[in-house]
Amino acid sequence: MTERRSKRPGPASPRTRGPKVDSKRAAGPARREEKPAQPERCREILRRLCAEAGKRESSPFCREVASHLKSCASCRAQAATLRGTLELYWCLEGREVPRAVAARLRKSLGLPKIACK
Amino acid sequence: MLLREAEIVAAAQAGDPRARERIVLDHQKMVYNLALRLTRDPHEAEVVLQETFLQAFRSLRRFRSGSSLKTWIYRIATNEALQRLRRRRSGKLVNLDELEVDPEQDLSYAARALEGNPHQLLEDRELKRRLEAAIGELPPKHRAAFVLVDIEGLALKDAASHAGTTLAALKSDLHRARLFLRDRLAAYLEGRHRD
Repeated sequence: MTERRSKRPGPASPRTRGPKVDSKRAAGPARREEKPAQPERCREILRRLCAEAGKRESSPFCREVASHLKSCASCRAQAATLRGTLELYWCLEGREVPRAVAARLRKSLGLPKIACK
Repeated sequence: MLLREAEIVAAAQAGDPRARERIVLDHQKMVYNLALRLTRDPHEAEVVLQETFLQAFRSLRRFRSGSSLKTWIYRIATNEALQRLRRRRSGKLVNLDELEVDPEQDLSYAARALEGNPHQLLEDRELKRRLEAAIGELPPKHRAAFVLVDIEGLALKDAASHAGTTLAALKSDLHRARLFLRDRLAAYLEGRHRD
């Protein structure tokens, strides 16, 4: 993992103002309880979330980030889109071996031809 | 190993062509898809398919009863595909070594779009095409990490061993691969929404 970003809070700048939250899109009354943004904390959480997204929800890592996700809309969106992306890939079905490819394979292995019925 | 599989392996070791045929029919789809995902090239995938079974039958006498034939063939196929992937050069690959999470990125629309049933989302053929194309843009080490862990379901440690890298390096590659694929998908979903 690169260490390009310091974990110390930097001077106020557009990059350190925290995650953007689209007020029209963010859902529900829970938004009012959201804590002030902590961009460096978010980055650290998300770095680990990306690297370990395959872990079970009961792992210490997942318990640790759960409380952060409750209070951070941006990280929730990051987590949801990462999970959604993986789910789409999991649902992509494998292809059948094309007939011509299977025929050439059999030939290369010296197996007899399959007789068509 | 199941008794039936043990019998098939024993017969194949004795040179029975029907047993060898059974082994090919039972495993060719797994090998072909793994090779296709790693190489992203149908011609390369076919070469990997042939090389895997040629190698498997050449060394079948060394196969130990009690092991899983599927795992054994899978390992041969992975090694063959990764060797080819490393050797190949492509000018279309992206550089992911600097890719990092941007917590300010607005992903709220993509997050909502991905709430639906994945199978329904995949009815969008363009989305499906883009998902498959995005894997092809990944550099070999990132692609290997993503395919072995997220598609094939290998444990991180096993995937690192297959890919010939350290656990830490594999985690880093996997992290950037996931991020890149997610960003490609989010960009498509946003664009589709705007159109």
